[in-house]
Amino acid sequence: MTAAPGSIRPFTVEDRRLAEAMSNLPEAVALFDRDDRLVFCNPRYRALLAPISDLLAPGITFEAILRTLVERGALDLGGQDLEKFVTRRLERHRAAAGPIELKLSSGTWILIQERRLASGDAITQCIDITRSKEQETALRESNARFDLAMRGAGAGIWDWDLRAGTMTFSPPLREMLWGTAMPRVPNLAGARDPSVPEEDRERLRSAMIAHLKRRAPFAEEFRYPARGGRLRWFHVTGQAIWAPDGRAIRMAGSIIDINDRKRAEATLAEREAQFRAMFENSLDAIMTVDPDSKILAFNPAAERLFGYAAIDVIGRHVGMLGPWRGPDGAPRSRTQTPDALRALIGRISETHAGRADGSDFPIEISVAEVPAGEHNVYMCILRDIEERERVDERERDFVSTVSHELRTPLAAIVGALGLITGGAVGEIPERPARLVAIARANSTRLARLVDDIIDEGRIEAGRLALDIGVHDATRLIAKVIEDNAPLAERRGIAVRFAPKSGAWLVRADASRFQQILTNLLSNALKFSTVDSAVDVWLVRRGDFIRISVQDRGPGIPESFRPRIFGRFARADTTNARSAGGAGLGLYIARRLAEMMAGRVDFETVWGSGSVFHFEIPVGGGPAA
Amino acid sequence: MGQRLGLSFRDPGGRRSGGVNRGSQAKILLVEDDPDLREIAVLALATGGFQVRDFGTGEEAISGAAEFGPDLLLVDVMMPGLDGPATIAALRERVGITAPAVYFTARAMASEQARYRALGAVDVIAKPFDPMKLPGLLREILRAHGTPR
Repeated sequence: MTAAPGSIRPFTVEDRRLAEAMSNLPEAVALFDRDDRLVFCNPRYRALLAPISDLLAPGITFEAILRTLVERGALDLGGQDLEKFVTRRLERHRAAAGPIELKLSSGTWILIQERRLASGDAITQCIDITRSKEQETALRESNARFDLAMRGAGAGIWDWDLRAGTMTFSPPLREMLWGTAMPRVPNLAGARDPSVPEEDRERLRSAMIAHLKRRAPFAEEFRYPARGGRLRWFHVTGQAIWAPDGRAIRMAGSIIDINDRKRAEATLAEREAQFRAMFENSLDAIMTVDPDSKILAFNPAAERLFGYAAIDVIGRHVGMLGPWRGPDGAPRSRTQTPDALRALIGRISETHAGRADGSDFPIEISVAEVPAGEHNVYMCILRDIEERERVDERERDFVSTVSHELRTPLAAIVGALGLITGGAVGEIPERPARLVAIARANSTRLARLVDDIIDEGRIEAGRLALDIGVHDATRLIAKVIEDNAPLAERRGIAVRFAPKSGAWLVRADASRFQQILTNLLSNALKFSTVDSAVDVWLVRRGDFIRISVQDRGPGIPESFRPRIFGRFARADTTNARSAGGAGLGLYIARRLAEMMAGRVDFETVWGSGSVFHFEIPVGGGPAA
Repeated sequence: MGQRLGLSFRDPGGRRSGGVNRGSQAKILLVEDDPDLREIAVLALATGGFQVRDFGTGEEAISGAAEFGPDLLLVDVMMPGLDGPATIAALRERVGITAPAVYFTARAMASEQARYRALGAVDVIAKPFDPMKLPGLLREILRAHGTPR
């Protein structure tokens, strides 16, 4: 560093006056002579250049100040070359051209203003602009963040100068609406843009006018073919600024893409409409109940069912719909614990309810827990089953009556013919005896048919009750074989059954067990060839005992196998023997077996016969 | 189907039969409202060697039972007027008959047997029945439940 104190120009009176005036200025000021040597500087200048304040004596050159500042690391060159910087800085200094900004290493930003005086001296003025610099940076960063946020949110800002008639859009908004393609000159935030569907445009325009003239809030939704694609929904808001004379001069606002929300809203509205239609028009009564057992909704069918208007029950405890009387017929308080509905979730239950007129009636109820915001609500579907119960009862009576009315005359016929064929009235000639035998066989068959039809009806109605006990299977089987002996004899078929000794205990309804076996055995006897044999045996299979009946018949045709256990199942065959029944025997056998936790199945070989298997659970306790 | 038992019936008109004594001579009180069925049952039981007295209604049975002194009651379930259970109850309570009772029913549901037993019967015979097997069945029941004579 070189300083040549010897060559300073003399300190004039003017200089002193100037120095005095400057010493109290809040800005940093320094005066250099025409050779760029420091004449004097004020304390503020000294403070600003604190790192080199020891050198700030009159006579030091501007260049020395610059270099020392850099040398002592007080000046941040931002990576530029020192010589270039010094050269450029000196040129500017000498020309006193325009203000320059510099950042000191301390973080202080200074704005430097230089002026050449008529004397050739130069005054350098430094202003600390750190604060405004910081604000500017913050603003720039904030703007960048804002743009980013806007882009992310699918939103943007528009600004409309009404006097100039120009409209500007923030970059995110331009990108959102038009992508990289330059837009046709957009107008009034869409109010005159022909790309906006006409009805939306009309709405925008009148809202805009209402805002500008009457200062009504401006917030509208409109559709726009964003980026030249399909119409999307946008939401626009804006606020104008009015001149004192009442004329709007400027308006700015934002546009947000709300397409996804609109679509979700539309779907929701659709669902809501569908649900509402279902709710209003359902033939079943529907109501919703909150976790505190308060009724939330009550549909028209529910109004009809209970005789209450929705308005009279909504908000009240669901217990008000309970029966008026308990099972013992005594009046009961119509409250229900909140748990009662919970307990019914997920299945169809039958219970009783009470109508507004004080009568009780049976209902079928199914309850579902439906999420609804914070709490779940219970949706209850209710159905009056009084009529159904009446019908059921009538049907039960009918089946019972028909059963009785058919069986009584049948019993007389079967009985009378039985006495004759049994010889109770003495020997009868062979030809009449043959006819009587035919009549008796057929009356017995008719009786069985009636039984099958009644059984089928009860099975279908789920009303066939069983009397399950533990029985010795061999005894039941022997009994069935004995009962079918006449048929076996007539067809010349030997029924072979030789169980291993010991009791084979099964859990079954004894008479239904025999019915199943009778069906299997009589089929085997019917279909086996004359003078052959039917084998019956039993084996233990795990927790089951399997009784098998093997015939020597033609086997079951492939086409018939899938429906052999169906109701009224008949093979497509001209075989006269197969036409003997209603086609219910195997259906009933399988269903009865299933009701006793067993099963009926078969194996067959076309041309050589079939084996039917009947499996039934092993009986635990002693034989009944 | 009926097995030949080699028996013959000799008193076809006998309402109060029992003239033929081929069996235990046990006395059966029959209550059945259907006349044809009643006749067949009487015929079958007489053939089997029972003494039978038959009635068309529960009320008639109640008035005639004491004099007859039955060993077994064979009673139809569904009858006009007093039905089977009511008839048996009255026979026990009002006449003091203790003989075992068997129901005669056209509602031949095995599952209903338990209910019938609860109504005071020891067994149930389903209609239609094989008349030639009826005597054997009743003898079995008498062996199991009857009072020794």
